[in-house]
Amino acid sequence: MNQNVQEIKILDLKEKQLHELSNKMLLSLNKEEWKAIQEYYSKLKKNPTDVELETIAQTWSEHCKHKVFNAIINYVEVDGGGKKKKLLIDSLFNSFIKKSTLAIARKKSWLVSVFSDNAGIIEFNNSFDLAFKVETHNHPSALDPYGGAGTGIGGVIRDIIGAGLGAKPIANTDVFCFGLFDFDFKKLPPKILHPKRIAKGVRAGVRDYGNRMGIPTLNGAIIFDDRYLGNPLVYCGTLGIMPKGLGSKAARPGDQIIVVGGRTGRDGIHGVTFASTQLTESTPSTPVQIGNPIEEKKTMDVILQARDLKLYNCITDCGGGGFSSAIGEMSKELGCKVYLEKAPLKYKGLAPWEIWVSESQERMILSVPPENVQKTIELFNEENVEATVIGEFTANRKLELYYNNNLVCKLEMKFLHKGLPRRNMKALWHPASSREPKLKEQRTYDLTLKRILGMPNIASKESTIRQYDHEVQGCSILKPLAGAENDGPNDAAIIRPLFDSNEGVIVSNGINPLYGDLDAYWMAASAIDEALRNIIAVGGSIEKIALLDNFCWGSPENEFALGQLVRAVQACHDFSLIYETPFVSGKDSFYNEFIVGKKTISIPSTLLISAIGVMPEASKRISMDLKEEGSLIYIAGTTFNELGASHYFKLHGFIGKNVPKVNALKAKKLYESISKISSIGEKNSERLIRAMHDCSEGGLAVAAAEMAFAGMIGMEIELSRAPFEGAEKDKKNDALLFSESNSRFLIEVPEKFKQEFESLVQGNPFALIGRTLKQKKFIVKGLNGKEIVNSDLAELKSAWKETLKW
Amino acid sequence: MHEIQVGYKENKADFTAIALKSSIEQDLRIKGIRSLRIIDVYRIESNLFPSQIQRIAKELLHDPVTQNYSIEKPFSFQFDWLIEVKFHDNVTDNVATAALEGIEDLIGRRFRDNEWVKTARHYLIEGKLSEHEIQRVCKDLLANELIEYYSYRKGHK
Repeated sequence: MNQNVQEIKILDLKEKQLHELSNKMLLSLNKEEWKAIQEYYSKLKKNPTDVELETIAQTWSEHCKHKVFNAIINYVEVDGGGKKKKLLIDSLFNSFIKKSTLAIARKKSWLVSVFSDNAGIIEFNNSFDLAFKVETHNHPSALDPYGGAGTGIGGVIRDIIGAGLGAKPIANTDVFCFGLFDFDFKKLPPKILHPKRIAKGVRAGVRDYGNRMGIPTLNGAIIFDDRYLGNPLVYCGTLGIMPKGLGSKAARPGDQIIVVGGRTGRDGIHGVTFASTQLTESTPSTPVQIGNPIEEKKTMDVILQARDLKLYNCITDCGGGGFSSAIGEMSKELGCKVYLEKAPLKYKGLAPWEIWVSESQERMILSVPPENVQKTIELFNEENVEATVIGEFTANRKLELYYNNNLVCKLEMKFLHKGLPRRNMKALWHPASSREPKLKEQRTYDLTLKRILGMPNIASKESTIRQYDHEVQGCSILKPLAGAENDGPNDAAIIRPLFDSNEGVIVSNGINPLYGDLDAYWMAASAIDEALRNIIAVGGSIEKIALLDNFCWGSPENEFALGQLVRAVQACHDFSLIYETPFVSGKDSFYNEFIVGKKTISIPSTLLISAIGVMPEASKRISMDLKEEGSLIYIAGTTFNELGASHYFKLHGFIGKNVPKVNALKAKKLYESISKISSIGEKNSERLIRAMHDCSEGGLAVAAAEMAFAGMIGMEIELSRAPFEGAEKDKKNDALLFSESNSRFLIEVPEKFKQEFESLVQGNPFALIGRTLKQKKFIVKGLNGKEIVNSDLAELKSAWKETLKW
Repeated sequence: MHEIQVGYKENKADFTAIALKSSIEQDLRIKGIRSLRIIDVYRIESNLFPSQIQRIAKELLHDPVTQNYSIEKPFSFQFDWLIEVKFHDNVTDNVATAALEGIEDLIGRRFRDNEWVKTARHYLIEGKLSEHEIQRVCKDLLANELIEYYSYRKGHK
């Protein structure tokens, strides 16, 4: 055997020794997996090489095989009275998420490719499709915020370039969860970077990669919670567009394997297996990757040329797991031979297994028919991008890797891709035991409102948004910020990707991990509703919306955490089905926890829902800032006493109990009515709706204040008029002001359209609750008719803008 | 080995340095910095003629509108502390790679295996900061020790 390759003796090892070996080699293999590997190799009467073992560990990693989502789960739900309900779940993914998408696919004809590719693909119009994907890059960003976040965005851009036969990226969306930015430096555990340093680094990483690639960053969110201290979440998403008919692809036997783009180095060795381990003080540095956006831009540009020349049959990106994952996936129904010494390296001295699993950035794999190889290489070289043949696809269903003419890895595709034992897991869920606090009724809520506006999750994200280019490519027509002073927070962004068409795409998201502390089911329902109502709020419709799920959880071995996952996934099924908004792709990330000394800190179970909505007439966009004095202010949707996990309770140090719920049937009806109304009128003077904003974090009071100070136009509202459901004792000023009940909008309507608006919204809960004012004030009359808020818009705005001014 | 340093002109604002100074003051709560200057350092291992190095500095590595360069010797700025941050070996250094490509184009030949470019950054600080404070600036702000290496020394007046 070659000196660069080692035989790893596993056949005679006991469980404990295998566990140690897994830790030493960073393989993240569990005991059932070791057993399957031992059985395979004892039949072959030999030990694996290091290349083989690394290949198996990479292919079987949580990152690549989604073991938790495919596990058999024994789920037990204990209700408030102690009654148990049991459920045996045969794959969360198949039983819930895929099930609902398949059901919706029978009614909606615009799904092109779901769950099978790098990204979800849907139809845009008769000539183009859209590809959408959101990834996470949490652990790398904890270690090196700048590089980790940059390569996160770089990776998801490559997912889009490699979606179908290749899409052109047209927008980015980025959502972050950080520890508290004012965390005391003196209390910082060793080897953890300060949350503010992580926040600034991540922001700069996303900025530099996205801006330099020339892709606008249009949408996002930032959440702060102390449990993200050692394990921030960095969600990076990209939307792409491609001509129709390029949605499917397959490599063919005899095709040459060409690697294009960056060179291979030691960057990011063991990234995927590392993603399945907890971060500890001794976590090594090799998983850190450094990105190079200029390299990726060059590579992307040539790939799109090669796509249009139809030079290749299949394409995929090298992400987690490097060549092993990319070539392994492309060849799983075929087989392949790869000559590792042919891969261009950044420097000498890499062992064959390192070349095979390295996660060096900016690399893509093409499957090119022999007759096109020369033309392909010439095309790439003309643009100064390296393109190198490193092997070929075969038909023998074997993975064969060579290094300097020595066979260093030979694995059956069947074992590699089907040999992974399914996990059997236990999950448990019970309702939270917290209670509703009794907060004293206040005479005025001016100060409370200002403090809530300044809470970091609600406060203006302008200092971050302004670092991102949202104009490049010239297609964004509803920007992240709007209003008289260009600083009001729009609910979603709209791009019009084709210069000769008025059709648009809306990008939005929904996330609220705090609700998950009370009930992950309603957290997921709320996140879906938030993503959808954001689309409705900017003038979109619910007709054609595709969703992505993105689960970031702690350890799935924790039965309660897994129980929360089951709840959340059930909600994803239930609500996507009622709204008829299918999930088209997704991502999961587990083991988001951190050990300091002897204490394990797990992140809050966090679900990000990202949505794209197709808009037939993008010119019907609506921004959230008030437009003129003398307009009517309506609220649509019902308010409940749902202050559980609200920012109002958080401000007072409570969590409460009444988590916001979703009545999807009623909400869907409302959304259909609203989008019909938003589509009326061509000129601004003909539009029934002049401004619209959804009520989310901070409730009605925050949404109304934001509309007013964004437009710098005053507003007066009366709480007694707002539709409220619930016991009379629950109908209180604070609940109406700050309850975060879902599916609600505040709408500005010119007085001349009063009748027309009301007749069209009839049949839904709605009420005329106020007017816009000449004076620059935000005034709220409480239930007894007395003023409980009377604040200057400028003061409210500065409270909202001060917190994150860094 | 050749060394080229590039820094902002006295009368031009370096916004990276301004933002960094405010991070030190606001995030680390370390006061007393009178001035902070950032110098980009390029180390080139290759047998090049002085005229070639001159061209590389003048035509490739510095922006003549806002920056000055210094060849084979540091700038003559005064400082109380000088911090140097550079990558560990084998960590991808994109700036160095881009500089190398530019140099190859300028001199009209490819670099051989034993020739290379590496980058480093110098932070020149004027102000009464203690050694402990300088260490905090290095560890908590300037260098990520997983991928970067830092060193510092006291200045001379």
